[in-house]
Amino acid sequence: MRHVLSALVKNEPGVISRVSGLFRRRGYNIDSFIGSSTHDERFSRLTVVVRGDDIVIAQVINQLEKLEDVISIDDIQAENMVSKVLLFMKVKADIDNRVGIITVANACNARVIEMNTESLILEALETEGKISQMIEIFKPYGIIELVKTGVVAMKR
Amino acid sequence: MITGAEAIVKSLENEGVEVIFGYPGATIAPFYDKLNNSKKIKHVLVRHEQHAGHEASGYARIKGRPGVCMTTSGPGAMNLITALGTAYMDSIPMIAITGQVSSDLLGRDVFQEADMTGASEPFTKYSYLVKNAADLPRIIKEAFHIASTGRPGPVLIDIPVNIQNQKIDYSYPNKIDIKGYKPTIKGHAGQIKRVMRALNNAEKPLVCLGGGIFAAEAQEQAKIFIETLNLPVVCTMMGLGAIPTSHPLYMGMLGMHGKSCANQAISEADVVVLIGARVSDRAVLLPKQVGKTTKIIHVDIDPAEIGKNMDTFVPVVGDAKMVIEQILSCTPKRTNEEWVSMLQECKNKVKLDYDPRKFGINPKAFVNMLSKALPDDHIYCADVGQNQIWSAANCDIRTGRFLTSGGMGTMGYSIPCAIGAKIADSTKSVVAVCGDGAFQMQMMELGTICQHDVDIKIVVMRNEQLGLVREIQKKSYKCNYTAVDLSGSPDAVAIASAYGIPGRRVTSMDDAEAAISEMINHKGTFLLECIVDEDEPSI
Repeated sequence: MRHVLSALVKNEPGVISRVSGLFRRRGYNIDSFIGSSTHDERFSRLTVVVRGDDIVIAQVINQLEKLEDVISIDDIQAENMVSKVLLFMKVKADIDNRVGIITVANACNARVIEMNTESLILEALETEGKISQMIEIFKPYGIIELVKTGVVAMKR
Repeated sequence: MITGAEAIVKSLENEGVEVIFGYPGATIAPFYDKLNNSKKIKHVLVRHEQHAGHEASGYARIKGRPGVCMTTSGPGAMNLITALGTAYMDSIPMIAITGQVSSDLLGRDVFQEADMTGASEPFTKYSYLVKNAADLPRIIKEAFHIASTGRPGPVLIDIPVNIQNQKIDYSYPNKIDIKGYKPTIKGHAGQIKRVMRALNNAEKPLVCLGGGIFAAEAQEQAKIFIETLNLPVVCTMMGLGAIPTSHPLYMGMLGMHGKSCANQAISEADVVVLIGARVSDRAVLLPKQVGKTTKIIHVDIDPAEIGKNMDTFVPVVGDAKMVIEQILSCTPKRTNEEWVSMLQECKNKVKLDYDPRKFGINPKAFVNMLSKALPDDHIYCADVGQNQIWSAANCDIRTGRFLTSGGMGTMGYSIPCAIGAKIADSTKSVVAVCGDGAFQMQMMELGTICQHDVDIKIVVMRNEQLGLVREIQKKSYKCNYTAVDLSGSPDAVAIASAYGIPGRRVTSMDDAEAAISEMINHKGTFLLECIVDEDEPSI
C-alpha cells in the first residue's frame, strides 16, 4: 500500500538529511520525497510517499515522530486529500507532427510553455496517475527530457 | 552455482588480493568459512578492527594497490571508522568489507546491527550495501576500480550474512561501466601552455609536492622536473620524501611545524606549482592570502581541490605523473641561480639543535641518527604528536618513504601502518616511531606482529606526557596542565618482552648509536624505549 505522509518539520540545515537517512537506514521504500519552506519560516513541509504494509507504515510514522526535528506527521488517506504532481516534458516536435502533439497535449490538460523548430516543452499539473498516463502517451513521439516533482498533497 | 561467500573470495582473488587484514565475527562467518579454501589469500588476524584498517592502509601505501580489511557487523565495523577516515583524508586506496545482519532484518535494530553505509558515508569515496548476491562480482570489481583510480580513497562493501549464503552463477566481469565516473588523467593542453607561460615569466618559482606524487607514483618525474628546470622545491607532510630530503634543491617541509626557509620560500615566490597537495591549514596558515600575492599553478586529479583552499591562477586537472611529463615536453626555461642560491643560503643558515640533553635523549637528533642508520630505502612510519613533528623535521628520507596520518592526525597509526607496509614489501626495513601515548593505543598489535612473524622496528619516545597537548597548554593556557600526565604507563620494554619481543631502554645520547645499531642488526621485531624530557619542544 502507498501512503502519503505529510510532515511538518523544523526549517533548519540537516533536517532533510536526518529524515531521508532514517528511511535509508531502516530500509523503507520511498516513491517520492518533496520538501519546501512554509508560510511560517520556522517550519518546512515534507511530503513523502512510502510503500509498505500497515505495520511498516506504523513503524515509519513512529520512527519519524521520534526525530527531534519532526513537529507533527499526518498519514493522509487517498479519499481525503487533494494531490498533484508537476511535470515538464521536452518532446520532439517538427513541422509535421507539431499540431498533432499540441492537440494531444490539450486533451491531456497540458500546456505548451516553450517551442522551437525541433521540440517543445509541455507543462502539466495533474494527479500522479494522470501524469503517468501522459508520459506513456507521449513516449511514441520521442521524449527528449523529462522532469517531475513528487506528490504534494493536503488534507481536505 | 557457488555461494555469495565463495564469490567474494573468488572476486578478491581475481583482483589479485594477496592479504586481508581482518577480524571475524558471526555476520562474516560464511566468508571466513570459504576464505580457508583460498590458496592465494593470506589472512592477518589483527587485535582490534581499527588496526585492520590501518594495516590495510600501510599496505596500500607501499603496494600502490588497495589494501583490504574485513570485519564483522556492528561493533567490528564501527571500529573501522577511524581507519576509514584516516585513509580518506590521506587519499589511500582501501577496500573495507563488513558483515551485516541478514537483509530481511535490516533496520530492525537486531543484535550487532549498525548502519555502516550511513556511518561511513563522510569517510568513504563510495559504499555499497549488497542486497543481491548476484551483484557481488560487479560490486567488487567496481569497488577496486573506484578505490584505486582518480583520487584514491576507501570504498566500503557491507554484505548481509544471508547474501553470503545465497547461491549464484558466478562470472567475473572484465569491463567496468560506471556512469559519470571518468577521472581526468591528462592535463588540458591549453592549461599546460598557460603553465609554461607562467613558469617562463617567473622570477622566483617554487614547486610544492604533496601526497599526490606517491598516489601517481611520480617521484621520478618530479625529480627530473625540478632538476631540469633548477626549481627549488618544498613538500607538505604528505609529500615528505617525494624528493630526497638531502637534495640541494629541497628547502624542507612546509607549514606550521615545517622549516622556516620552506615557509619563507612560499611567501617570497612569485609562482608556486602545487602538485598533488591540497594545502590544508597545517601546511599554510592563511592559504587564501598566499593566492592573492602569488600566482598559484595547481595540479590535482581532484577538480574539487583546486581553488578550495587557495586562489588559483592556472588550474590543471590531471594525474601528477602525466601532467609533469606534459610540462617537461614543452621544455620550459631554467630558473635563475640567484633565487635558488638565496634559498639555499637561508636553508644552510639554520642550525639544527642536536645537542645532548641533561636528561634523557634528544629526540630530534635521535630520529635523524636512526633514519641515517637505516638503509636508503627504509620506510619510516611516524605516529601523531610531538614525535610526528620531530620525525617530519629531522628524519632523513632518501629513496624510501615517510608514512604518517597527515590529514586526520590519528594517534595509534604508526605500528599497524608499519605492519601493513612490511607485509606489502618484506625486503624493506620498516620502523615505527611513536610516543608513549600513542603506543598504548596500538600495543595490542604486538600480538599480530608475533603471530604473523612480522619484522618491524619500534621506537617509543617516552616522556610520560601527552607532549603535544601539554605544549599547547604551556603556550596558550598558562601552563594549566590538565589530563596530559601519563604516569601509570607501563614499561614498554617489559610489555614487548611479555610478547617475546626484545627491547632496550635508551636514557642518554651516549647510548643512542649502540642501541640503534642493536635494533637494526636484530633479526625480527625490536623495541627501543627512549626517555625524553617532558619539556622537550616540538620544534
